[in-house]
Amino acid sequence: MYNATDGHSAGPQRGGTAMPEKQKGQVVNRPHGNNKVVEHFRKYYQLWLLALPGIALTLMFAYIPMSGLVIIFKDYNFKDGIFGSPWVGLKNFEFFFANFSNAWRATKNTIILNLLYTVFGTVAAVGLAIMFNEIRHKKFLKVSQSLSIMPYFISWVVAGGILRALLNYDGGAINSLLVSIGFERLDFYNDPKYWRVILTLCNIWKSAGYNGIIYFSTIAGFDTSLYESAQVDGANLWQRIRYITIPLLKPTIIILFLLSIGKIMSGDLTMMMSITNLSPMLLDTTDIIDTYVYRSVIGVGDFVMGSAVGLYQSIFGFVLVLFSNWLVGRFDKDYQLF
Amino acid sequence: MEKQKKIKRCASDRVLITVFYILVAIFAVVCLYPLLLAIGTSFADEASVTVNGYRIIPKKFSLSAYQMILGSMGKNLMNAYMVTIGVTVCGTILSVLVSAAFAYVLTVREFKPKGALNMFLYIPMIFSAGLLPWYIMCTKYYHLTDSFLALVLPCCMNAFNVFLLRNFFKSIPEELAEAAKIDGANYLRIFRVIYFPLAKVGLVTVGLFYALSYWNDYYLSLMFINKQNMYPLQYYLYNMLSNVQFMANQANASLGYNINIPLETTKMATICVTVGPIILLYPFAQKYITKGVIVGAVKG
Repeated sequence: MYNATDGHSAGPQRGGTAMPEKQKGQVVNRPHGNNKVVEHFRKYYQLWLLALPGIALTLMFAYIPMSGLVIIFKDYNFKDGIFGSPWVGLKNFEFFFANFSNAWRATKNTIILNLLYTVFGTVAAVGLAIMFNEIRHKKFLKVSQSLSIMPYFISWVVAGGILRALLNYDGGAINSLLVSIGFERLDFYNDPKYWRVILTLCNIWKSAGYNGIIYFSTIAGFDTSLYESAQVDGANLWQRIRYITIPLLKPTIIILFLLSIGKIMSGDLTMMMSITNLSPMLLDTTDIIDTYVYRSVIGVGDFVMGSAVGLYQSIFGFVLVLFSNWLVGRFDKDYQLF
Repeated sequence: MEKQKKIKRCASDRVLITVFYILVAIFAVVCLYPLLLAIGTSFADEASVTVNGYRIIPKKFSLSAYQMILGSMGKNLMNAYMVTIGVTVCGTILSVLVSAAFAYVLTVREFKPKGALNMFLYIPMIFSAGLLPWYIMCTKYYHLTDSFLALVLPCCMNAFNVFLLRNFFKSIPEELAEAAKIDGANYLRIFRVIYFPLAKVGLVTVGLFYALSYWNDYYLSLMFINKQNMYPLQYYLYNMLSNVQFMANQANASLGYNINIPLETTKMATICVTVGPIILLYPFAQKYITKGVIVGAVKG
């Protein structure tokens, strides 16, 4: 009803100079569509100004590249760019499925590695947190926490360089140790079968301390009266951990695990490059989707395969995000993301 | 009987706690050991590394690796250092300003579009175009190849850090802003005079996150930088470490050629020089980063 009257009367009333106070208020409260926008900007232009750089950067580096996904239907050449290159319809997909075996290997490796990182990373972090929580010696706690978090500050390039000093065939610290206790040397850099374990350990080394301290602060926030009454009832330390701490941590762990399912298709290109140097010997277990796209596009210049796999990664990732969000929602509505 | 039980219980707890101490100590040593190994090797004599392998305490002490990286390789290393410092300083300042401004807008209660802006920032966290369209956009349309901006702009606006800052801003009592508004302050002024100074811990935390990501980044230089004099430190190191393999193969293939292969000790010395500033800074940074994440991690 308001809208109908607004349409007729707002225009002339705005022009009038000597309006009764009440009518003036009506116009301001129920302005016309256009007027509303002007009003909004007059009031909030400073906020828009503050948000503008952030909006521009997000558009440039996140949203506009999404439009570039049309590349999948194009015969890409650099001169014409994404939008000028000729359309080829679904031809790229034919090529993609014809060469599926390598893409499938990359997909499988990405999923396996991410699952290993999540499961063992969480176990290590929660374990550390529980142990930190029981340590009463202030100085020991402080020093050990500082040391555990240190790898978080070190880049993957440096980590990869040092790893070579550990794993080298001749002279590497681990091989020296193996020889000194009477075992054969292991040729890590020429055998793909070790690398799932090595990469998982690298990941734990780098982030378990950091995540452990975050879980530790969660545990520190738990209600101490629970522990006190358990102690009065005669529960020992192990029982207190098993029946109080772990159940209380469970929701957090499950939520984080479910959220990580959404990210299961995305890998860390820089980590893989610095640690394995994309060595052809190791690709069987270390070629993830990101390195596959990188190798095919930037290495060989094969845009067709690279973009097809990239799109498939994005779409699958998106579906998995929706799926994990749905799972989180079933588990606890509060933690649902959207 | 009762007493005996109690003693037994304490004993089992004590055993468990001792195990905890040992495990934590082992993890801490595992975290420290690789770094000590790098430092030890960097001070070793190259020949002793070849014979005795990598050691924390070198068999034969030598400074030749440092002489080499500061001498004949010094110019390139210095250059890479300068690029990294420039990128880290400019990038951190710019990122903190851009993110703080955006985060402040997300906290103004009466500003209706903030829900949409939240979503706008959130969507790229879960769905991205992937490497290839992003790469083509940046090189072909934004012309970022071999430019300083390529190392700064793409990671200038990190959604996670913005949400972290927003949570810090939310902890500032809204009455302060209300009072300032009644006194006639506009939004820009409220941001500058109230929010920016009061969220100092949050700004330092987020600044450290950004600084760390700029310092450790080599993804952007891998994508966009071809000119040797634009290499940042991490990319310089990456090239040095991976060229080793390549050149070693070359050397084996064509015996007799005298190729200058970076030695193990020089590699480790370069690693030490690269992580040096981080190791000096991190006891200070650690406090902020852990505290900051805990405060900011509240979902909202």
